[in-house]
Amino acid sequence: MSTIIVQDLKGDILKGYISNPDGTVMGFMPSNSISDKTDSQTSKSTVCFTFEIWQTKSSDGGTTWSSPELISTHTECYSTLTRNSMAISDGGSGGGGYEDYLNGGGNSGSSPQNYNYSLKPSEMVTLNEAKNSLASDCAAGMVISNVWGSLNFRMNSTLTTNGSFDAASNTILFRNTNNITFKTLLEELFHAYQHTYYPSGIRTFSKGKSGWTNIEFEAKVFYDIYMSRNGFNSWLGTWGFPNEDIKKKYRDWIKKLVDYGPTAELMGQYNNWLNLFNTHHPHYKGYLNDKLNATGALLDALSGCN
Amino acid sequence: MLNLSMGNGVVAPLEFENQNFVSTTFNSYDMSLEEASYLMMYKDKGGAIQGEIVYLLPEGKNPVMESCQKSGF
Repeated sequence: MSTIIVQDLKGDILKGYISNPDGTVMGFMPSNSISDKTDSQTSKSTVCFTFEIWQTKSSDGGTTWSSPELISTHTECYSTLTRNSMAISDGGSGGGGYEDYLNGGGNSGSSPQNYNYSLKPSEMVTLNEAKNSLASDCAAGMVISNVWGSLNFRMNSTLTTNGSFDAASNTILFRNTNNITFKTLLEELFHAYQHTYYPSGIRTFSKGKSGWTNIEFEAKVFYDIYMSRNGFNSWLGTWGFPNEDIKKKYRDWIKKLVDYGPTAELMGQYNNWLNLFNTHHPHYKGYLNDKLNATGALLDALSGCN
Repeated sequence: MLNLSMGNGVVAPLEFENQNFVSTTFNSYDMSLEEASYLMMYKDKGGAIQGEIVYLLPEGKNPVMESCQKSGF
């Protein structure tokens, strides 16, 4: 599924589309453009979304980068016409309306802005599908078998991220239904695993504290190893790296970890990549704890998997 | 030259001086603006040249590009 946004050269958003996995496309229109089309058979629903562009700058040729700065934001509202609970779309096959798209289906009428609840049965189905897709991987399966039974799962609209692991309550939170994906789940599961593996847990290394960078990088490496091993071209550890050459070298390092396992030689390079991550990552840099050797959970999860 | 429904046109990649990334309500992952966007210019039925910037934002279950997945931890 993809979102397609079209802007004019002044930066105003002209139109948007959702491309569905089955090849159909749902368009959405500026909310004031169909106000005269409603009748007793139809109703108009409005949904707003925010489109942001963030920027980081380097003043030294790409060695160091500034923290991300929000340089552009648009909040656009669009409408769909609904008739007999079916969305009117340009080529789409219908469904629960655009608000249902936002909520993953089945939630018409609920506000997508404010919620905090344990996952609904339909969301638990999605969650279990994501879990099952991960469980066939040796390392991810080992993580799941160790943490799954003790975890709680909640939806919380106030998150500023796709997912979050709350160590205090042993809860994985998702921002919305669309964030219940194997990608988000994998990283948060690994944070849960880190919390069980390290003797003092990971609360002392939470956001903004010394060691946060170490904990996050370990999770990124675990994620990247999973994605590489399972044929996905998806990388988290390289974000912010200043050029393609360095990114390629990181990807090659991950692929060797997949092929040969975490050998002493390969793990000997870990801190070099951690330091680069700490220098360049727009979100997680700056909280490196030199004394924290946070590779134990990674090595434990990978043990026996090569 | 592309034969688009609204007229003949061309598309071109965009390059930005700084690192920009884009995030939307619908898109789970921040991603590079250069990777997510392109410029499309075409001549409309009236002969006027039009320009549009198109953002293509893949989502969630079929990861195909470098992502900046933020964890709330």
